[in-house]
Amino acid sequence: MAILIHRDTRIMVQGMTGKQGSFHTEQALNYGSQIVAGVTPGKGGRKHLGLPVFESVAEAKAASNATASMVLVPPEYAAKAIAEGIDAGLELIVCITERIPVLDMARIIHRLKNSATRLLGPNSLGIITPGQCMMGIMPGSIFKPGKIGIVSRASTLIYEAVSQTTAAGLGQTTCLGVGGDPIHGTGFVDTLELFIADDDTQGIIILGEIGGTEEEQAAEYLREHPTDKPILAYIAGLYAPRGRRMGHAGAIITGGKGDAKSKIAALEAVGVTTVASPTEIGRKMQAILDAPPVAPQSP
Amino acid sequence: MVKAQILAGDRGQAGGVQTVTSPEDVAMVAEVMLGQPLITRQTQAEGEIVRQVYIEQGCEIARSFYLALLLDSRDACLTFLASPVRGSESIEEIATRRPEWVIQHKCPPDTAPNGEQLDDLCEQIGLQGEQAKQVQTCLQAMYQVFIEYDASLIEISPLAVLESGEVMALDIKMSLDDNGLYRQPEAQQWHSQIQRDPAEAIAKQHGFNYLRLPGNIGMLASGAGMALASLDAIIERGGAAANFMDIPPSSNAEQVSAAFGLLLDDSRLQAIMVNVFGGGIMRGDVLAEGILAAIDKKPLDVPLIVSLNGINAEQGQARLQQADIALTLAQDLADAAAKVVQAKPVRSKSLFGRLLGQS
Repeated sequence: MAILIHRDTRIMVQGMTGKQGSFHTEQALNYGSQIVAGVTPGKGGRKHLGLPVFESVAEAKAASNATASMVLVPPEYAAKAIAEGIDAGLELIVCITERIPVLDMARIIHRLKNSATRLLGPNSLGIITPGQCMMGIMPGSIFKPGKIGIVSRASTLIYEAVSQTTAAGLGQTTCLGVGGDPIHGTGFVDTLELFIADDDTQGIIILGEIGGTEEEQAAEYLREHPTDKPILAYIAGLYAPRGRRMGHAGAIITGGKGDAKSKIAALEAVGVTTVASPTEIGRKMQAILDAPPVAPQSP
Repeated sequence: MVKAQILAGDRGQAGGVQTVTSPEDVAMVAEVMLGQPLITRQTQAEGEIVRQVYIEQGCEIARSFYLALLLDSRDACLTFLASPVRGSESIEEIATRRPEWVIQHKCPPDTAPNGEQLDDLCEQIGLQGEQAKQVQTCLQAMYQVFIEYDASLIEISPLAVLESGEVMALDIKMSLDDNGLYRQPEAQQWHSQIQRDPAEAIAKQHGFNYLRLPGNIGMLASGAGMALASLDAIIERGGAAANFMDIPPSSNAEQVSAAFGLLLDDSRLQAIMVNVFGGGIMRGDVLAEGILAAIDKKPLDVPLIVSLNGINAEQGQARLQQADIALTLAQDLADAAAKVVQAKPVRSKSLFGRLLGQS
């Protein structure tokens, strides 16, 4: 089944007429994604890449029945573009744009609360259901339809996990990037819930890194909702240099953690297998899937 | 008081805030501080050079408080933190050992706290009457400024009630969101005045991240997670990285060239590792083009180990192999890291080459 996007998902691209927008729309079209419209205020009524361009999300949605949008609009306008998508009732917004002011994203998170829209990103590499639909900036050719769900905070690191699972013959159900920004939409917890409920996803890979609390929240979720599906994680930054820090408040609010070691420990404590290098991901996932099922422990 | 002016906190614990009792002592303490690196728990390992000191009148502190405002990424709310600071404990120690002292108050963005909520907050940290009123004004101002300036943190540590009853902020720190700079003309001015490591300044200018580290293996990777993983791989094998560098996957050849140029300029290097998984705009051929353009301007004197995968990887590898440079291709980042920590510098070859008039 895969999650969130499928071959029939109808997609509009906000910022389609821009340089990045054009390039990635073309790539997505070549992959077979159903891109059906573009949105660029000021260019409504034109055609671009053979597709109709509209003034607004609402117009594009009405005309094309698109339910999803990919946002490739410059950071000064991206929050407004996302807000427009939320107000128009889109089901999924994938924001590739990075460098959006954090306060703008905080406003967006609150706006999402009273809506049925799911946001992925910002600063996300996108989402792909191999063989069906690609909404993002990933190189489509390295993916292969299969059985592993992959969720990552980092962009290029996910390509390692993808190429290894492809090479191992495992393939992927859906792969997505939650993005590198501190304030963002869908995170590890929501994604785990979806992967766990998806019959086609037989194994899950989490790619994390230092900073933030995504990994800790994922561990907490798994503690309360244990699953039989094997989960593998790689956390980058075990030896990250001590960066410049300003003030105490950040540490106070997160309890001073956020380093790779404590994230790894939190995940291992709830049964997640971790690897020390991204080059071990494919081998290890194959090994876990090949291993005979462990008998459930008696209470 | 003589206070070292660096862009990091915890100066007191590191000797960066000194009380003196005569003008001569002011000069003496200032002279010792200026020009020296101050290392605190909030700076990088080698600290920050003190280029300015702030000299102000001392005061008699009766009570101390900690106030902060930041955006909590878990709930996207502006969050006030407030606590009395008693005894000799730092606010972080208090947060660990007496968490019940630290009061949090949440505000959604664009919803300033009202008088009643602030009354409550002040009462919880032990402030009443006129002093509470002054602190409330301060808290409201913090909120306004936070929104107006696209801040990510405002911290007052300590907010002091003096023996005289006066309320005074003895130190204020503010962090601004880099992403908001484009709409903050005042902050842009301050930003341009910050003294930076020249390599870091070039990196900022071209839109990538560079951090100097004590070591002799240069590195470049595309994507922050990949860069962190690359750094881990080098260090795990006993190597000492000379830098952390992460270029966005959307980089073009010019940006790659500027980034790689920083490594060519670094005379401490014994070897360089490049780890790129190309996709989207950063393709293998773009990477090769950027690297070779940089080498055109400044020769490559040390072994270069490249792990290049993804879109147009073969093209990129071929272009690099065609050039006359000390190149070793690696399969992946683990292979690259293993090779780079064992690489021996080729200085004699380069010298010979220079004697023959080759680049």
